[in-house]
Amino acid sequence: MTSEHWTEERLLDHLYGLIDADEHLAACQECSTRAAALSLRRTLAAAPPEIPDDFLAAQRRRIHERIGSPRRAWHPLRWAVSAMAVLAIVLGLSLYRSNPAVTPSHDDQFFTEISTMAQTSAPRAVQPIEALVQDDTEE
Amino acid sequence: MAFMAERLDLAAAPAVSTREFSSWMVAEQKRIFLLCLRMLQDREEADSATQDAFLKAFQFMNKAGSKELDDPGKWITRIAINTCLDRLRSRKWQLWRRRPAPEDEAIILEMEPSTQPAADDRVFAGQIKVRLGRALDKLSPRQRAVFTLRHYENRSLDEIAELLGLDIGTVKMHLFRTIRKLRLELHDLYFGKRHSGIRQ
Repeated sequence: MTSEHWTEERLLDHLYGLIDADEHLAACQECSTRAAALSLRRTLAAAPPEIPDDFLAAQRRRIHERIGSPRRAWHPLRWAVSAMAVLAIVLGLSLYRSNPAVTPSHDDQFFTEISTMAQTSAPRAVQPIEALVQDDTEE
Repeated sequence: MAFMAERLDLAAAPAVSTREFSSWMVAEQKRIFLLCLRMLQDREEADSATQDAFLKAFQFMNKAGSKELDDPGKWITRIAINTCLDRLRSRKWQLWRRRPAPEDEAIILEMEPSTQPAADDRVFAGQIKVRLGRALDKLSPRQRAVFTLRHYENRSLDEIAELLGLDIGTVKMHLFRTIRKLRLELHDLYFGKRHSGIRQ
């Protein structure tokens, strides 16, 4: 038997099955006691928690519901997603079509302003003031 | 298992009855839920994974031409493990998932274990559960599966290899790396010391 005691590292490796016991571990009282203590702690730590019966029963009910209606569980969602996609496309198209209608009015306004500027004899510097007055009267 | 034996006779009419399935599920459900709970460390997710596993099992059994199963217990275990692995892999993208509170961990670390073997071991076991559960987040999904099957279910390395579809060498490698990754936690928990006091 070797005189060296097992390190904690080796005891852990042995506890999890990575290395086998050797002669020392089998014969050494101290090392075998330490190994047994680790094993006990792991057993206690791995003890399963209490699972209430009513929780398990409820879980079974849910499983049966899903078994009974797998299609119904999915179809409403699929339909909802499809309907939303169609709605989004229709909305997008209608918005896209309504935008160009605005553009000509902007262009008209722009050409009107250019035309006014070309026809007016007032100095360029007073045009903003005139425009303000013009806007007020139009409103 | 009675209904599994009947499956052989039902090859032409593949649907397994809900009653047969239900009685089998009752026998396996708690074990499968515990496995999912230990792998996922989240009760709601484990509940959902357990449901998924049994639903997949039922759908498979009702597939036309599905073969008789040699070991239904092992088979549903494998389904549950794969379901949990899928969920663990998808967690990588769930950045909003709650992380363990550092103050809780500090409180646990402050609780030094006694050298008295019997009574304090039970207190110690509670610490092991909490700390290890949190430390599992450090592991890859496969390492987590290997460690769960070894630590909590006390399965042999051969069994783990079979359940995960790996060779024994790969299982040992995963377990070795896992133990090294959890080195601090395992030493604290098994030998009752703080991080700095690891004796070689």
